[in-house]
Order: sequence, then structure tokens, then C-alpha cells
Amino acid sequence: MKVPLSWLGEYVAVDHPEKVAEQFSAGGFAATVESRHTLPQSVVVGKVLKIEPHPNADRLRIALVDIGKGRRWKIVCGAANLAVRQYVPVALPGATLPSGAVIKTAEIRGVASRGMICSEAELGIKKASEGIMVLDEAPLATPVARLLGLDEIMLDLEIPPNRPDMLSIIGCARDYAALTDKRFLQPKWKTFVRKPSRSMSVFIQAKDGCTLYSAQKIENINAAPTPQWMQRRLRASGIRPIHAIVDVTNYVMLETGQPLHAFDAEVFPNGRIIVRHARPGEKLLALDGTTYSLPETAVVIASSEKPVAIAGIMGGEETGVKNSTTAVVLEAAVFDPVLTRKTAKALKLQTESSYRFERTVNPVMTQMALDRASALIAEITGGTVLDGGASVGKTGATKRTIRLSLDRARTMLSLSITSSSAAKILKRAGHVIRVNAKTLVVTPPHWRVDIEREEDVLEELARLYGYARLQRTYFTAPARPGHAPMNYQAERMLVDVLVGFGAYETKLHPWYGERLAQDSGLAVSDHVKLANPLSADTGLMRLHLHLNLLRSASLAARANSMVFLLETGRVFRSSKEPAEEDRASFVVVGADAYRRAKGFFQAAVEALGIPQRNLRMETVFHPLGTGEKVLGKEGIGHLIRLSEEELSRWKFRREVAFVELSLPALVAEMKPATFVPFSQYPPVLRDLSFWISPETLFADIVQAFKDVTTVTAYDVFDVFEKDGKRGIALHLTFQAPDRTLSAKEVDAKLQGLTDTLKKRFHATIR
Amino acid sequence: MSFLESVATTRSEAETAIRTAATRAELEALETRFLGRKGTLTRLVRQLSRVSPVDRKAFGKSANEAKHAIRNALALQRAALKMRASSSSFDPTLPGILPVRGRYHPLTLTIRKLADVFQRMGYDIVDGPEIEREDFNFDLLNVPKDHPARDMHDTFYIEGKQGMLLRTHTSPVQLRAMLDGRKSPVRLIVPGRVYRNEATDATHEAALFHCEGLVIDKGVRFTDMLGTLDDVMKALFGEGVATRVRPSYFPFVEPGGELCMKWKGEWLEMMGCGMVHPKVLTNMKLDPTVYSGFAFGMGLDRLTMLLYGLHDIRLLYGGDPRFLEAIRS
Repeated sequence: MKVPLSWLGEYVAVDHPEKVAEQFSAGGFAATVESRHTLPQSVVVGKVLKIEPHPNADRLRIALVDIGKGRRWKIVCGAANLAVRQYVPVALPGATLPSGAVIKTAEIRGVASRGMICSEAELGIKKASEGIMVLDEAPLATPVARLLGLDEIMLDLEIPPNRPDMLSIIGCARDYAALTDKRFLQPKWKTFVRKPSRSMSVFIQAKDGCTLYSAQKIENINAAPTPQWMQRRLRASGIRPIHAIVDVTNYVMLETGQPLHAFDAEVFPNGRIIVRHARPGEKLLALDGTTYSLPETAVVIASSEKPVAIAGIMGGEETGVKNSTTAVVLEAAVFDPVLTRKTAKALKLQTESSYRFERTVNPVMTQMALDRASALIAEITGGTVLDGGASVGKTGATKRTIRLSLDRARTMLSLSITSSSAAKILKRAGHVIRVNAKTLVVTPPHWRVDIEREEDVLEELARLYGYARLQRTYFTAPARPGHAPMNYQAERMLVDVLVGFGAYETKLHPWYGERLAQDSGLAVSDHVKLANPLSADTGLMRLHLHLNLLRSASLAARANSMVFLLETGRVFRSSKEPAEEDRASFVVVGADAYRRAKGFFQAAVEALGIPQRNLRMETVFHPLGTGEKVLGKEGIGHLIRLSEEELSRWKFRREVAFVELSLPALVAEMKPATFVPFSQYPPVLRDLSFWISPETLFADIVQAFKDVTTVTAYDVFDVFEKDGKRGIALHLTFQAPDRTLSAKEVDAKLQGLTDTLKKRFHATIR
Repeated sequence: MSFLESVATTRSEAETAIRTAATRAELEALETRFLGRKGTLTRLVRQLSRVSPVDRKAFGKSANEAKHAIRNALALQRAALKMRASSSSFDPTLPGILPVRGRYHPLTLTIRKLADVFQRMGYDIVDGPEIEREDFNFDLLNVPKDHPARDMHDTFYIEGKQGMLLRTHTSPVQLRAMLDGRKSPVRLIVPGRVYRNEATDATHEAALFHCEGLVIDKGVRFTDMLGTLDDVMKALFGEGVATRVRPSYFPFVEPGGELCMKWKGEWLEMMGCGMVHPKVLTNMKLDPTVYSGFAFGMGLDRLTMLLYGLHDIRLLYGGDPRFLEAIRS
């Protein structure tokens, strides 16, 4: 809500702007001071006295302009709409316009010109404009900024949705008075009686959409300009003045919070105003020039012939006031918040009016607003407010009483306050209080729809007392250590270990597009799909972490020879109930990527307390390459090396491997560590090198060795390919728990292994 | 120059020359020059007889010391030259070979920092689904359908699943945790991902991180919230920070507030907070006349940006290693 400080000041005494902003902020409405002053004081009001043709240019003319204080200057001007007796904005030499242009005395085609007559675009009021701006009569030499309200000091207040009363100057002034314990100056506006009359009648057929409809007819209207003071305030509030009557309705809406609408009275030839639901297929050309197909939730205002306005949202183009209008029907109504909201959403049309109806308007205010607007229109246009009006529905507010226990208030706010001082504080905001022993019986004022229960009154008391003045206390609770779920603990350990190994941890977007899914061999139907994604590239919730990680790794690999990216996070699978799982994934790029990734995996799971012996590795083919599947009690994850095709699809130039693991599956394998006695006897080390077919899997060799003898540890220290064969070199460790192995024993074991290699795998020993 | 002075001069002259000698040959020459038969020191000693008997003892002592010192210096320099010759390629000033060092994501560090502070205070860490039921995300938190309060949350909905959405805040976990049968007193936090259907720019992200907090017990007061949250902010940002709470509106709390913290001279909005609304307590199957509590929620991205002086939220989710390297002391 933009509030011109001067307007607020009409209803309550205000402090200096920063202080007012601070006071509103402390009262629950975050406020900032906005100064929109971009026009210098040296752009002033001038009057065109005389116009002469330019001797050297057809399109230019020379205006003699009176800019007050006895100054009559010649200014060269090219605008076609320039005319004698016009009041115009004149930028004096030295003035800097909002565009940055500096005005100078200049010779234009041989004629001296002092200053410039400006257009609205040049003043920064409009983006584009034709011709010079013509002002209403105003004292000469008045700075235009002041005249147009461009120098208004504005407060920008954040109004929460539960405080519709604050969407008005009066509401803001009232709450400001309550917060600062000042006097709210009640406006004294002329009132009119809306007696039922024959000439006008209201029929509310859509009872769910409208609880109150009041109409007021004003006749004998003469076209008249909107007074400058009103234009100033409208402009300052961000509303463009259009037409005196429309301007009045907007002005009164800002002032009272009640949206108003003015119809040309000819719209209702027989005086019948009907509030009804939109009929199927009904359309309306609205004031914004768009033809809207009305949804079934829409409520319309209709004459006996056709709809003339979308209730609470926007009027019809054909039925609004024009310059030729001589009589208007002014509407002030209460439309249903939910239906208004649904219709506005369906039409994608949110207006100042719908915004207020959605948040509920105050029926009491409708009558005040109607009176205020009628009086202003009569005053500006010389019109006559007819005695006859029409009003259907309840204009009173429902009264509620809420009981606040003084003990509760004292405890909750740690405040030793008496019932009378609590009552006094609440009364400032218009609450009517009856003290009944240790209970305050509170009747909130009609404009405070947000106060419904004891807690609301409690907040109101704290708010008016001042949150800042409350003391800080502590609750007592058993000294019990905080608990964290296993997934959280496992994730933390895993990230610690992998970052220790050199991983760069990322947090990526949890979605991607259908194309990436399909290209990666994933079924779109397995994905949780967003109904309203940001874009087509973000429509699917990730089924795995590694896709986006590979994408990031590919970018990172352009600048780094070694890449090791890690992410932990959630993945989603579409099923009857969408399933979620916490995962960890990492991508390794560079030489020996797969073996390094596998090493990180093996070391990491060991660190988590997962014994390798409890895991089973199975070689697998994966849409993105080949690798191994990790199995424990259930599937744990994958280690995959990207195939050649995938490398080129992801634009990698080096070996790439990724690992993706389920955190809950890892957690299920975690075991507490215990001491396992180690051998006190020295190990015997032997090397074993051999040639073997590249098709033979190392896992099969190890399995075969197990059948023959016990090897304490294998260390593969060389693997290479030559002439279609694979050379493997191993450091073998032999150790017994209870004695030193003799050389003879070890030789026998080694012989067993070489025999197995030769017989089972046709290997040659090097 | 007295004899004593001559000895001292010779000694320091010899020591300097020896220390800067670069070859063994040079050292040999120096030995001859100072200690040889016709060496400087030797010649001085020969003049002992010309020294007055009173000074003779002192002269003898200093000459002897000088001889030892020069011998010592020669031996040391010989050893040094030998060492230098044997390890001529060693340069201890070369830079160290760095271990591979990974990097944590700053959000992880923020979450841990926060979680550690709260766990020390006895809060549980609790988790909930990111694909949430609409009623848990909104209705049961006192945000009815078609209420303008829903405008505060632009929501992603799940296709083909009526009433399912990506949670817009971590608050639904409040309900889930309580309906799970947690026993009072309850103290918990919920760090996790939330989603807002907003176009991204330097200050807006569609998938971001929040942390929720909930305290429930008999007799928890509004002022307890003020005390607790002030402590938390001090634990996170240092004892020097000041906090204040101002009235604010969140449908699931009453009285509600916004906690601001003074940071580098400016008051910044850090989190929404308030006493759990009685309707929400009822939805948690708690009796609002018996139990009370407070809840709070904060954006971890914003917190992280503040802690590290980041100006563009998009960097957090860019997956760029350079970003992680740019976070340093």
C-alpha cells in the first residue's frame, strides 16, 4: 500500500517520514520511505502568451511564455498542440530532466530559446506522449513536481492479507493513531439518505456472490477536469488520472478501501440493476479493452439486457462514464471474496478492486465511501445527488465478543499488567472493552475482521504494547540430547569422507526435462511430473541424482583435468503414492575414473561401518555404460563407467564414471565397529605377474584363488593390455594368525595359484 | 691496537672468511693464512714475550680460544660444503605438494552449523516428504483454499495427483511430527528443501532450503520464543548481534512475528516465528487449552548468502567448482 504522507497527515498527526516508517514497521507493517522526486524545482508552470511562426523552420514556432516573477521568455517549440493561454511545464535553463538531459539557453535555427516546454514523456510521467503537456491553471513559477504530486513523500507499507482495513488511507491513519497513541481525526463527510425509489432498483440474484449492493444516482453532470490536488495524490499513489468521475472513484477507494464503480446511468434504462451469475458462454468487453469469456464463478452486474461489469473486478468498456455522460450510477458493494478470487484467477485479471474484495471489504465502509464519492462528484461536476438510491443487503458489521483471560495474557507475555491498563491499551485501536473480574470482554471495531479469538487479542495487546518492550525468557525442558535420523547421520559421514578424498560437493536443481530423461534411457512415466513447471526443461522431478551431476561434471571437465563432484539429496519416483528416497551420488572424470570411483566407494562404505564382505557386486549393463551393481540386503546402488556413445553425448573427452547409492540401503548395512585381533606374525609378500585373456574378470580370478588357498591381501599394482592380452601384476600377502609361514608353505600356495591360473584361465606366467 | 684487540680482530676476520668460503681449497688456504706456521694468529702468539706480564694470562687465554674457534669454524664449513655437494638438488623453498582437498557446499555448512546449535539445545532433527499433501502444506496449517494467504506461496503441483504438491515450506513437518505420536515436550528442527514456483533471478530460486523449528510443551510462552531465538542467532552469528521481533502475519501462528537481526548496521529479516495457532494445535491432535508452543522458519539460502557475503543465489545451485573454491577465508 502506497501512502502519501500528506494524505495520512489529514487524519492523524505524523512524525517525520523515517520515524513514521519505523512506527508502522514496529506495528507489523514493514514500511519504507519512498521519495519519487526526480523532477527538479527548475521545471515550473508557465503560461503561453503569444505564438509566432519561426522565420527559418516550418514546424517550429516561437512561444512567448510567462513564467512568473516578471519573466517573459521566448521559447522555440515544435509541438503541434501548443496554443495561446495554455499552462505548460517549462524547464528553465540549467534544469536536468529525468532522462539526464540538461536544458540550456540555445539558438534553434537562428532564434534564441530560453528553456524548453516539456511533454509528459520528457518529464518522466509517461513512457511516450504526443505534444507538450498541458496543465490546469496554476500559479506561475510553481514547481511542476509539487503541482503533480511527484514530490510527495510516500510510505510503502506491506499489508498482510488478514488486515484489509489497512488497504486505505483512513485505515492506515487509524492504526497509526492506535500504535502511537495519537488522536485519529474522524473525517466529517456529507451523508445522503438512500431511500428506496421507483427510479432505481437492485436485484441480487447471485446471493452467494454479493451480500450488499448500494447504488447512488447523480444527475446533471458537467464535464469538468479533475482537480489538481486529487490528480497529485492519484499520481503519487501510482494511479493515472483519466476522467473526473473515475478519478473520484479511485480516490475514494484509496481513501476508504471500498472499491467503487461508476456506470453511465443510460446503461440501466429502466433503473433495474441485476447482480447475477454469468451465463454459460457469456462474454464482456472490459475497460482494459480485452473481451473476457466469463467463467462460471463470475458474478456480473447486468442491466435487464446485458452484463455491464464483472463484479468486483472490472467494468465494461461500453458502459463506463464518458465525456458526454450527464448522469452516473455509483456502485458500492460487498462481493464474495472467494468467488472474486476464483474469477480474477481464472481471468488472470487482478485489479485494485479485486485485490480488496478478495481480502473482504467492510460493509460499514460502503455507505461512507458512497457518500464521500457522491459529494466529491457533485462538487467537481456540479451534479445533483438524487435523494433516491437503492441498497440491498446488510450494511452493518457482525459484532463479536472475545474473552481474554488476564492471567493468560500475563503469563504468555511475561507481563505484570493490570486489567485496566490492558483495557486502556486495547481501546486505542477502537476495541470496546468490558472488564469482568480477571477477564477482558473485547468487542473489536467493525473494521478489524482479523480479530476472531483470544490469541488474536493477545497479539493485539502485545503489538500495541510493543513487542520490543517485552522481556526475553526461557522455557524449561528436560536436558535431553537432540536426536538425528540415521539418514542424516549417514549422509553427513559420507559427505565428510568423500570431501576428505577430494570431492566437490554440489547442490543441483532437483529436476530436468523429458528429453534428458529419454536420451538417458529413462521412462518418462517413472518420473513425478510437475503440472506447472517453470519450463519444459524442469518438468520432471529427478529419478536419479547422476544426470544433473554428469551435466555439471561435463562443464567442469572443460577447465579441469580431474573432476570429482558429489551430491546428496532426494530423488522421486512416480507410483501410486509418489516415492522419495535420499541418495548420494558422485561423478569422477579423468584417467582411471572407474577404478578411482570404485576406490572412493569402497573406502567410503568402510568408513560408514559397512563390511565389504556383506556387499555383493554384480556386473551390469546400464543405459549409460557398464559397471557394477551393489547389493546388500537390498539394492544399494550402481557404479557405472560411461560408454563411448555416452561420453560423446555428454561431451566428455576423458574416462567418466559415476556412483549412485541409496542412503537408507546403506544405513541398513551399517554395523558398529569392534576389535578384530590381528596376527602377531610377519606377513610374507610375493609378486605374481601373468598374461590373461582380456575377457577374464578379475573377480573370477579371485574367486578361483579362494577355492585353492587363503590369500590375506591382493594388491593390483599393474594392469595393461598388449597384443590382445591383458597383463596383470599382483602383490600377494600371506599371513597366518598363529605362526610364521615358512617359505616352503608359501611357495606351495603360490604354486597352487599359478596352476589355477594356467588350468582355469589359460594364463601364462610372466 | 692492543694485543688483545688484535686477537679479537683476527678471530672475527677468520670466522667471516670461513663462513663464506665456497670450496675446500679456499678453506685450506684460509687455514694456512690464519693457523699456518706463518699464519696471522700464529705470529701473534709468537709475540707473547712482548706482552706485559700482567696481561700475559689473558692474552694467552684469548689466543687459545681464537685458535679453537677458527678450527671449529673450518670443520663446520667443511661439513656444510660436503652436505651441499651430496644434496645439491634439494631446494626446501619449493612449494609443498598439496593433498587433494574436497570442498563442502556452503549450504551444507549452514545446515550443519544450525543443526549443531539446535542439537546442543536438545532439538531433534526431523525429516519429511518433499512431495506433500495440499492439506498438510496449507489447509491444516490454517491456510484455507482460495484464501489470499496462499498468494504468499507460489506452488508447484504434481501432474495427475490431485491434491499433491511440492512443499512450499517445511511447516507441514510440524504436523507430521506431532501426528507421528511425539510426546511433549517437543523440540525439533526440520532442515530441508522447499519449492516456490517463481522465476529465478539473483535473489529468487525455485528450489531452495528452509529450516523449520517447533517447540511444544505445557506453558511455553511467547517471551520464551523471544529468548530462544535471540540465543540461536547469537550462536550462529556471534554474541555481538542484536535481534528484535516485530508483529507479522503467518496464518499458522498467533501471535506472529518476524525476527530481524542487526547485521553490519542494518536490520535484516531473518525468520518468521510465532505461537502455534490453536487451530493448528488442534490439527496436531493437541488440546490448545493445555499445550502451547512456538514455531519458526527461515530461509537457509538467505542465511548462507549472509554468512558468506554472496549476492547471487543462483551460484549456490550452479554446480560450478570455481564457486566452491571462491568460498575461502
